[in-house]
Amino acid sequence: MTSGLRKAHKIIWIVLGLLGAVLIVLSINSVKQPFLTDSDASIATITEGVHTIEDNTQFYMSIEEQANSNKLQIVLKTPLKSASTVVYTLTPDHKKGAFLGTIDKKGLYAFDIDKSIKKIQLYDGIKNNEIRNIDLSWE
Amino acid sequence: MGVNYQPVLWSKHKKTYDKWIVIGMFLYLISFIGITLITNSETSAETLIIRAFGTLAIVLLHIILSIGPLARLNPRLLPILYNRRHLGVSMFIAALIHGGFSLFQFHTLGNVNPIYALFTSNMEYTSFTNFPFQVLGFFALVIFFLMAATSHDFWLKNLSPKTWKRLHMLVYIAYILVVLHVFLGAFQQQPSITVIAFLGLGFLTITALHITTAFKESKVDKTKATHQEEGWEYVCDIDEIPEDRAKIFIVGNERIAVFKYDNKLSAIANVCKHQGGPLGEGKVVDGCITCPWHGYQYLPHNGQSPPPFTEKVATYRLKNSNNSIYVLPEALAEGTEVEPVTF
Repeated sequence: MTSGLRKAHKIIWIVLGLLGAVLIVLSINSVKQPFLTDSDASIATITEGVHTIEDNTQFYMSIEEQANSNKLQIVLKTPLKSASTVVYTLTPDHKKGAFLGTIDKKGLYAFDIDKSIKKIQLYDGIKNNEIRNIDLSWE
Repeated sequence: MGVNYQPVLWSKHKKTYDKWIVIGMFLYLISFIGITLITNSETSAETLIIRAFGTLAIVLLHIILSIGPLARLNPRLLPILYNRRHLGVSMFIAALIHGGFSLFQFHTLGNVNPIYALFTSNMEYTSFTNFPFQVLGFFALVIFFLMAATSHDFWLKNLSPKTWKRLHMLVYIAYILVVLHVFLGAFQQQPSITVIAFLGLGFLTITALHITTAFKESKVDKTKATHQEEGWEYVCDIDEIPEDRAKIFIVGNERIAVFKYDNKLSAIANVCKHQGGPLGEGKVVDGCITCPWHGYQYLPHNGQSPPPFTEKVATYRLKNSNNSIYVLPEALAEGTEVEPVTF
């Protein structure tokens, strides 16, 4: 290498070293919080007014009854296979209703839903197909 | 564009290295797939392929990036440097399989172009946490493709060594893109101490190696001549240079190699025109200075490659004063004939 190239390498690696370290730390800090473990999820089930809808290796889902609406909590324990999973409410005639949000990474998601909502749908937004429908009744 | 180039031929050693590259990659893939199936038997075939080849590409990229500084720190590792190109192309193939399967699994079954879907399925470009990490991997793959496609002496000759080197230095940008691709992608979906430990340690090691080597080389570059005599700089005594070998010195901020052969001394620039190899670490073979990296040759008295080759390097004037060698710091035009100093 010429002296110019040696200098260029030195500057490039000092800049990359600093930039990379900062970005790695930021990405570690940005992991969705709170990150719940399975044991945390099991503790949540005993909270008063919270009804477990589903608890398996993939999901923990619960409904918390509130004054004007219900709070749907989804804990994604392992990532879904679909690249873009969208959550919709389902109307009584099984048609897509309101858009609630997307779920992607492992972690906790919470949505406020109307008390009349009895079903939701997980929908693959890229492949345009239904992943599954979930019944929210607990009684 | 001309087609006059001289490829580096495949020697027995190169074939041996290639064989080990293939064996190493195969063993890694088998181990990764085996361990994954034992620990998580529900993993789908597509996911297994994506992860196995993705991690393989990352491991190979770390090996490739560590070869340069390691060979600077320990010349015994130089032979590995000669085969870095094949390792680079192997890494690109692994990355291409990872990228291809990812594109197929996540973006081909919709009604839009998969590449368009890659850029538009997640539009959170202003978010750090939810940044579309697949785009980072895509751009890294484009850089690896350009590097793999030009990893041949035809392109080195026709793009010019300077342009070729600049193009291949994009690997550093690709490396940062890959690190972010993992930390904003797989790591965010499945936060894991193992990912932080392996990739963090890898990043730290690669950065530390490059920066350590850079400072070591800077220190060498700052070496000054111990004394001067009317513009001539003293470099060493004649008996300090082994027969048919050279010693490297810093003259006018550049490195030169002073060769001793057949009771003669000649000085040329230390940088080979092929890929910037250190000529001073080579030796005189059949009357020609031979680059230790790929065997490119130069005549000691004029810095020209013997016909039919056309490479030329700068030459320097030497003088012998009571067995002390002095050099005139001004480089002569590449290929300039200089009468060797005899002793």
